[in-house]
Amino acid sequence: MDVKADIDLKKKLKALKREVEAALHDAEKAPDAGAALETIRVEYLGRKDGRLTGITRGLKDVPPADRAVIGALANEIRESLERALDEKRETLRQKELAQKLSAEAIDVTMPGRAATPGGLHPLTRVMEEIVAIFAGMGFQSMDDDDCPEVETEYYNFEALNFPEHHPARDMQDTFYTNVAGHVLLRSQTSNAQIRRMEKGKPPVRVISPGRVYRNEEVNSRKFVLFHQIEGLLVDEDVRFSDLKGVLREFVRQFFGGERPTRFRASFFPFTEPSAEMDVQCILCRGAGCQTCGHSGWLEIMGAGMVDPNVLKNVNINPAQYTGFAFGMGVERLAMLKYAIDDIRLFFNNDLRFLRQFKGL
Amino acid sequence: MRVSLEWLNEYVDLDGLSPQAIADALTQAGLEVEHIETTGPRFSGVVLGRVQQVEPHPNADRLRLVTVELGRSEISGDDAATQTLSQAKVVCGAPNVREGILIAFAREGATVLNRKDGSLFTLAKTAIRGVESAGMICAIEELGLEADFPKPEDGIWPMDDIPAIRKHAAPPLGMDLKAVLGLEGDTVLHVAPPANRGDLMSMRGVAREVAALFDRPLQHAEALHFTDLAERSELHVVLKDPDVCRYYGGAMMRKLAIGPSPAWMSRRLQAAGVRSINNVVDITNYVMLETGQPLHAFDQLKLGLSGAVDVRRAREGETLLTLDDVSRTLTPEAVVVTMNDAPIALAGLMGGQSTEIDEKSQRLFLESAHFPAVAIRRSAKSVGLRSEASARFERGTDIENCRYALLRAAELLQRYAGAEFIRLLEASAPGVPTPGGQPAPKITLYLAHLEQALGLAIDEETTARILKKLGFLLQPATRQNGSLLVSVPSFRQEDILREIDLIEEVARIYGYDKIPYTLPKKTGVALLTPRARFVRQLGETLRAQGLQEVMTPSLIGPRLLEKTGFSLHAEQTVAVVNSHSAEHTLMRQSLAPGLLEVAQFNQAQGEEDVWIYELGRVYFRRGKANHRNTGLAERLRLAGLLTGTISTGRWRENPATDFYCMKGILENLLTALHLEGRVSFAPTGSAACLHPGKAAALMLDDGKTELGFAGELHPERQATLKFRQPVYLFELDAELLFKALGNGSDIGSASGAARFHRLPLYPAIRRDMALLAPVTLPHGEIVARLEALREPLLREIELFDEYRAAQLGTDKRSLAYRLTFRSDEATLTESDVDQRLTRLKESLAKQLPVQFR
Repeated sequence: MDVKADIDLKKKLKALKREVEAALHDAEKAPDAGAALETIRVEYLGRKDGRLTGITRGLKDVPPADRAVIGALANEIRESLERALDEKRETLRQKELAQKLSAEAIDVTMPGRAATPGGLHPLTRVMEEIVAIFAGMGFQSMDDDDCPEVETEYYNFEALNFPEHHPARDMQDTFYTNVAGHVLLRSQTSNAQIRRMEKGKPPVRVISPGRVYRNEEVNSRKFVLFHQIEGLLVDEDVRFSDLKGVLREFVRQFFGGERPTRFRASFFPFTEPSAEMDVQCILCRGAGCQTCGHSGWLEIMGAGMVDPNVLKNVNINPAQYTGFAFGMGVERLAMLKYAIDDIRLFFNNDLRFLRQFKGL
Repeated sequence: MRVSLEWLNEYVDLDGLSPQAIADALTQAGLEVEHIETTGPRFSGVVLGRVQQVEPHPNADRLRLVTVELGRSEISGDDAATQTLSQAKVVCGAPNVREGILIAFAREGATVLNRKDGSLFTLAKTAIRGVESAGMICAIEELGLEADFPKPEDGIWPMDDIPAIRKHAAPPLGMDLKAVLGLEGDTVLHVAPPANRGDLMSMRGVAREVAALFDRPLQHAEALHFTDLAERSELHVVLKDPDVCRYYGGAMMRKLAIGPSPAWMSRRLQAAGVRSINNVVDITNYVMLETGQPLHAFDQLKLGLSGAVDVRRAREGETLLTLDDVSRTLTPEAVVVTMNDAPIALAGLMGGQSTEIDEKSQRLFLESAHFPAVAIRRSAKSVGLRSEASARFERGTDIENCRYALLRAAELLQRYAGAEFIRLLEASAPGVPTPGGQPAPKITLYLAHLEQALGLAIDEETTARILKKLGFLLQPATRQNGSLLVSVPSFRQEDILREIDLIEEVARIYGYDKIPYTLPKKTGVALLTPRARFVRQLGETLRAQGLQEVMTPSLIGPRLLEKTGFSLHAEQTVAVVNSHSAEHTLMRQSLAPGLLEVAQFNQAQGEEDVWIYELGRVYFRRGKANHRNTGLAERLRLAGLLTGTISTGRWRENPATDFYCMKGILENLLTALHLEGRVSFAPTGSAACLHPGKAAALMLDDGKTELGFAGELHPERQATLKFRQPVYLFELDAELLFKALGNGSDIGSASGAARFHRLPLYPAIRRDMALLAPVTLPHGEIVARLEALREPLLREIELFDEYRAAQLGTDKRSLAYRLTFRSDEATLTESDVDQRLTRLKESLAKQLPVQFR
């Protein structure tokens, strides 16, 4: 019995192994493969009634000398079958998962859904940009409420050295109001110069964006109101060359890259010497086109050294302090930067227009 | 002003300077050249020819073969060229071509005009019906000269009767047609002199700038002298008011022969944009353009041979028939020249018809006066008239120039109108020094100051040269210690008053482009102020929630208010009194009308979903204005408009915008400002523009301050404005919001509103509470009562459902709240929370008509 039982047991184990492998193979194709696998597990590998367990119970009849060998074989077969079963289960799980995910597939080419954030008006955007550039050069932005738009003649003209009845007062078509005492809509942001210098002594290094008004016929170039940015620097030993340097740096930052600029002599009552600054035409790069009137240059701002009379008007000693001031039109700069051809677009607020100025 | 270079060349040698170079230099120096115009005919390469022979065309009945004679000495080149050009054979279809007539001949390569559209084209050698044609005989339209000559017969232009050709003994065959007709072109610069430079309103003034810029000699005006004739005169000038006339000169001339002006003068006037009329009128205009001093010619026989000429303010209601045939009723703003107190001309503006020069005029009284700029400006404004003369007076003329201009005109009248000079009558107003009687003002210019101002040193020699070229005189004796004593010529005494003015003169002629680029020696710190941070936060929060910023005009019109149904506080309204446009007459008091217009505009463009906001000012009259104070309040407002859907893509349905959607946006805004606990929404039916049941006032701190409103546009107004969906509007006073933040002291500071709150240590327990309440009982009231019970562990009250149904009754609704309880000391027990909830419910039920479900 000893040897016979020994050989018999080995045969049985190997047969069982083949049988389980075959069953596993078949289970894959069963309608409910998961259940089939479980049935196989219980039938063959169940700890209580499984057939492998049943076979290994016969080990007790094997001579102790062979028992270890056959026991090892039985264990090996059990492990191998369990591994095979696990593999089958894993394959099956993967297959089912893949099916599930495939069923969940969406069309990723359909448009996304999110509430679209709003954007800045292009003029605000340009003003913030300009303010940031000058902040980088130490110019403090005045607060929006530091300077009124409805203004007295004193701040709009007189303190800025426009004498009464001077032809310069006709240079701009100024809106006058029903408020007695010559109250007007400011025609330039230069009232900021006086407002700021009245508040404190030099050094003064400020920038002031705001709305100004001109009594013009409305067309693609002109509107009854627009925005300007005024700059003012008053300190000891400020030179015309500093004005040139600061404004050239601004042009570099604002339009990008190395752009030729030029300064022309001009006349403003509140600056002496006065200048107008031109930048090489953005569109034709100096070759001459319709936008620049075939001159190759675009005028972008007025500037100059603060007239001594203006300093005297705010009780600053022109022998001790000098300074420069400049003023630029925001709409004009925005139109040049973004190639906008009609100023009215800024005030019509067509959303298709406004939405073009988002992000970087 | 138009500056003819042909004319300018008389005063400064322009040889070797291109029009562009002159224009660039003037522009850089402050005399902006806006445009360079080339005048004269547009055709080129056309010469005078004579039809020698006309033969039939071998292949066409209507065409002729014409031999044109072109002269012999026209080209001095190789013989072959002269030979071929001496005559030419062309094919011509004009019926009026005949042997012997003079014609305009366009050679191969010539540029002529297309008869149909006036465009230019260049002639190429062609063959017409198999016969070669070496050019073209021109019609007047092909030269573009139909406006300049009497209309000739149809076909080609026969030129035998043209005076400019007849005056030649033999027709100059082969000569360039422009030269034959005296139509050579000129280059005209369109310049815009600055408002403070009256001296640049003249050819001589511009010449002075050019001479300085290119360092070339300037042809100065020669002194002129006349001998008086021994003719008695009872005419005299008496000036009484120095405010309206400071100097008045009159030249009396006789034996006038009125006729056409010399061609060169007509041409120069035409280049300057002035129409040629007759020699006398033309000479007054010519001298004005040359010297900058306006003149006026009176017919002295019409004026009267005796009496007193004066200048005074017009009397109220006084009338004058001016040269333009308009009878003008005057006010004391107007200034008139008078003869024996009767107005004869509007001083410096326009003459009167009663003393007008005509073809029969024999005697002339020529005026050259100095009218102060202010007087002429006001006068021009009062009568609504501007002229070449007033443009010069308004910029300021040179009193020292008056007499020269008069004598210059007399000289020209003598030469070109046969006139005899009788004498000069002159007078200065009381208190005004006679011309030449006042020493020129002097200014010391320190070179160190110049360097300090410009950031560039310019040496003494260069500085002196520039100033001299501009007409300043330097006192050599005082040239020391790096300074120059500069005396200011009469024509610059209005704008050169100080050393800095001289520095500008030197800098602009030397060239702004030669001044280096530097950065200021000292710099400072620039920060975003609390106010700027606040303003930016407002916009940022709204943009993040989908609102687009817009900017609408602050100057509006009554039409917008009427359309949108808004009105202004009349007594606080700032109105513009001189607007060109009815759409821009009032300063806004609300941003809402502008936003409604923007929404309407966008809906008209097909955009249904409009979510927008604006940050802008409104304007109110508050107190009285004085010299320095407008008495106005300008306040920053924040307003928004929402209509359509919260668009997140079209392919799934989006929720429609409603009141709560807008309220949520505002709550987020208040949270961003740390004001969420301080602002409540109170029902209001007061705003006329809003739906009475869907409007709220935003109240700050226990309802003491109204920040603004939020609500649905009144359905009737929605219909009038043709909005397809409800429109939601809000408008807040940003100044009050800022004030609520301690005027910015709460922003960004360590003691400010943004603070850390310790995270909870113990878990929270939540309970739902549903109650049945009358629909008239606001949620806000329920929450307020709950909070007033001061249950210390109740941390949050959140509404999570509103339910209305028929079985509840139309006057009832169910509200469901989630209550969050938490302690900072310990973990709560379920039973403790349940007990607290029960107590809350009992208390609430005693105070409010609610039932718990």
